[in-house]
Amino acid sequence: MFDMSEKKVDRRTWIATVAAAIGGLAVGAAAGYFATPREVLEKMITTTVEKIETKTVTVTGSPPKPEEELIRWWKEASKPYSGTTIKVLAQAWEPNFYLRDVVGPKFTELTGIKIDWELTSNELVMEKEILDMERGTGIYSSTYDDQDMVGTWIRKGWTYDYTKLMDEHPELIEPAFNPDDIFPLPYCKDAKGHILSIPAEYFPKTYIYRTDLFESPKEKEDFRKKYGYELRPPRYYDEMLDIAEFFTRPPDLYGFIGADGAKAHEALGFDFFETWFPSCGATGEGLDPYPRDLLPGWGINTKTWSSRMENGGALDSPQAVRAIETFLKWLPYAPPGVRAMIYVESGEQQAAGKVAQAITYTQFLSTYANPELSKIAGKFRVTLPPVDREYWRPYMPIGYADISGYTIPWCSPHPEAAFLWAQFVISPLNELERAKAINTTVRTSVLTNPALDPLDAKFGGVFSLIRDPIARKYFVGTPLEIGDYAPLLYVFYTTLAKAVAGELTPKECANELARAIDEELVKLGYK
Amino acid sequence: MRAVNPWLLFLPAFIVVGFNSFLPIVYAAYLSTQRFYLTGIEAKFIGYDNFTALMFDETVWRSLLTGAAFVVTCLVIEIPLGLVMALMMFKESKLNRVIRTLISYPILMPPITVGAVWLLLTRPDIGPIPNFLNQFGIVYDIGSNPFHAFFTVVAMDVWYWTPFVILVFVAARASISPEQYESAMVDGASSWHIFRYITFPGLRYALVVVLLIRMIDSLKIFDQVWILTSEGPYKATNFMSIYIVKTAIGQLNVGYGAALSLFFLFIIIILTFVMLKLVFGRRSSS
Amino acid sequence: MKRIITIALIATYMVFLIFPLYWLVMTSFKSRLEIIGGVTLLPSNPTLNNYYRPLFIDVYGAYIRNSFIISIAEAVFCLALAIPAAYAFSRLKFKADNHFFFWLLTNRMAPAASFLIPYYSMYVYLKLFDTLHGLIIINSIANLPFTIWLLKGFVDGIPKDIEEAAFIDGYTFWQMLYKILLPMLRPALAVLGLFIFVFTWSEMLFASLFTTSPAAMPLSGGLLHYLAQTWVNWGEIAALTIITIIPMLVGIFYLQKYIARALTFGAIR
Repeated sequence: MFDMSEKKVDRRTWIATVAAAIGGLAVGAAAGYFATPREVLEKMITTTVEKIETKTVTVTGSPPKPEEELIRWWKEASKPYSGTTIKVLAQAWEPNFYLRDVVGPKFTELTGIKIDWELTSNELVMEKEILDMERGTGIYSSTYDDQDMVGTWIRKGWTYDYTKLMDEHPELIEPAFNPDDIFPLPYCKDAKGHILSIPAEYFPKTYIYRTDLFESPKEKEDFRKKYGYELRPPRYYDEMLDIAEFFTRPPDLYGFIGADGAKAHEALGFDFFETWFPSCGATGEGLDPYPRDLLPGWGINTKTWSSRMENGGALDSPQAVRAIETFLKWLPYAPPGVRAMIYVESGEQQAAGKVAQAITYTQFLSTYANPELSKIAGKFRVTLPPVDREYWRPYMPIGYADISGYTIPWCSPHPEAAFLWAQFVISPLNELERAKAINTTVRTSVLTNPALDPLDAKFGGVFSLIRDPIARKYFVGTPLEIGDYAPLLYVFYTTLAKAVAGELTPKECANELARAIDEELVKLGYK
Repeated sequence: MRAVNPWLLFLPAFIVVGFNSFLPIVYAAYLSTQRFYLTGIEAKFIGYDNFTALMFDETVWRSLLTGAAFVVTCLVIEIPLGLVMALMMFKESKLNRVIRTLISYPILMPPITVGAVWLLLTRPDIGPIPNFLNQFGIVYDIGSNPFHAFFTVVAMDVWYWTPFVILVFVAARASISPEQYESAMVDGASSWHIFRYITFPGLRYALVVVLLIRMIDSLKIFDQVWILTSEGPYKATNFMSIYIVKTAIGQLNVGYGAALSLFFLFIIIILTFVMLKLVFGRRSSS
Repeated sequence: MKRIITIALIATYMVFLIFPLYWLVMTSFKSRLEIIGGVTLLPSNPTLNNYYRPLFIDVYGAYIRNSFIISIAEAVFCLALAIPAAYAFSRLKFKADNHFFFWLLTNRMAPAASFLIPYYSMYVYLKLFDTLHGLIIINSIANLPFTIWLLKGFVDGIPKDIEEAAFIDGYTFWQMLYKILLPMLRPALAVLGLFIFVFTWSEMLFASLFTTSPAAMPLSGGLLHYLAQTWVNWGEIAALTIITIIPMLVGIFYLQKYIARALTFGAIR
């Protein structure tokens, strides 16, 4: 009986959701005749995703504990580990410089645990930690990982399972550690719900545009004359390309640059998983990490472990072809040398004020906002990236959020101290100050804190963008099911580089990609 | 005098070099028989399959060809240039000594620094060279044009190593006895004849030495290219060493990477052996 | 006329040669914004920040110290092992000596980058990882063969009669080696020591991968970390590069005469 009634309720919710979705679509389509495309899209998002959102646990932070109480707890809990030194390996960029210079010393002062930092490039972080874990060397107590790498670790149990660690050491859980408050956490759990990484950052990959150009009356006037519609942040790629064409005025200004440039480099692979495949609909529907058939961004079916359409994959789909085509279309509007650039150089182009619009990693916003390092301080704004007009549908991810966190290698010499550090990074003691300095937070309670309002404009409106839980849903992280990140990435970027170089047409490239990925998956033992 | 055992004298050095030499090779040989990714899959013995795969791997042959093209291009530029420069500045004068000191600075720079400097010079957006060429309407882009990428690496190598070629030729030229020239002058020989019959034969040994050493060094070029273009557009600068590191560390395919390393080492050893026979043959047999 | 062509040719070549150095120096005095903004021949607003921050705020002081320790120790270590070995190859006959001599050279020629993984496992297993002496040992795979090859050439150049005379005077072998031979080799040892110093100072691959802490990482490894950083500051890289190559620029004055000999393993004198 109970089963029946529960099923009924379930079905009712389901029907309601679908009805709302259809209704939303209908309303949206109808509104499309009258309203601007941007509003339509936003309406679609609001009407459809609200339902998903209400089904998940309501996100409410537990009332923050008074600071003194927390400080007392930290001093007490860390006593057994006082005097140890943990070695932390992390990527060398602003957020981690902040941790090294501000949060780290505070941690040492409170707990007596010293931190020995090693900050280096993304590639070297990967190489060093893989060598460390594979050999069980035990050099690093804690490593900072993009969570797409964590998938590789869990396949052989190379990381500490935080859930287990919490069961064994309940006394080490900070009283303010509230899983519901930490919004990127779902992406740091494996399919069984175990926490494998404690997120330290949430950086969506957003669209960024120059307000001084987009709001100039003269530019607006010229744009309307030329294209017949208003100049505004685009909702669709065709609009984005119009704007790119409009603003391409060499040698001082160019129309657009992707977040990762177009060099034949691993970054080309990232860019496709993160931006172009999802926003062109190549990675299917579903905004939650589990369960999904298609790996978000990767177009690989997790049931059949194949990327071909006939097996439920998506890498040779028309959507994937469209993604490659779209990528090739903006290249002429990018600054010269885009084919020699990766994220570093792309960020430099944006900071130098050489592009009117771009896709950007929001890690860079604190640099853009610093007038000593950038020419666009105070002159940029971020918003949701555009999507493909034909293939993107609501419920499909639009972009990517870089959720990096601290993992503990299985051979870590001080897992408990490392666990304390991972919690301290996002402890309410630091979180607000950190958000102010480097525009990231992983706590809803901090994100919604009015103290961030004055900084919102400085960082181009990134806080108001991600405060909206619905918009946040559309930036998905990489689920941890992806093992073997490195070998697959290699196949991705070498194949895509052929299309960028013009050796393969987009269609051929997509077919080749699906074929090569399937071959590699077999080699890696997935089938 | 014969009381001392030569082995006793050589042994410490032998141990240190052998430790660094034999163990990695043995270990690489073991790895090369495995299907082994550093991503947590159990290593599996597959015999010589990695080597078979290598023989049919298009990229291997392509990168060896790229390497050969690179070596030839570099030598064709460096040796005549070095020869001409050396003949201009071999005389012992104060000015020449200053010039020779100045020109030798690239040789002592670390390779990765060389790559970084050249990246700074040739980056299409902020590099002075592309910007300069742009004034004349020439688009110079090492990221999209395979020829530009390839020739930038060649230019870098010429910049880096021509000073070495010059110094070798200067040393060799200085050791030709002046009497030969004097008697040729007395006979009224033309300058071409002097070069053809006195200078060139005197430099022939140096030429062979430079050719072989530069050949081996250019073939295993790595650091500079890794920073400058990596594999480059259309894999234009995907030299063997780049491919090996991309395979073993980028792709984490350690087993295949080890097979590639051994294969590459084999080629280098053969070349070294040829060099030894041609250059040092007389000395080591004496 | 001929003179003018000669000078023009040399001048052109010198421009090609010196321009990168000029650009490096200029870049080190530019602000970050100026560098990414475009091409300027002279810094519009010269600054010393690029030198100040890495040297005084970051850990580069420790890296420079490590570099000095490693490079000097490497020179001493290699020379100490190479002197007896070079003597053995020069004066004595033993079984397969030519083969061993050749084998030494192959180690100098081997592509070290290809064997990173085996090296890593070995060095971790033997607890040589992330230590100064570990770096000294691994660097000697290229430097020791180099030293032995060149030193043999220098020993060859010393007349045998001197040793014979010493033995007749009642010297033991070791006395002869250290009291007679070593003083005669002093200039060669100085030159070779400097070369080893320079090679070790600029070695980057092992320096960056086989060290992790400021206690062991040398400057070249630190520079690579800097270079590979996500938000590259070219000004600081240029400044650090200049700091890195200063010891070499000093060394050039003494080494220039020997570069040809050293890099051809003694084939050219």
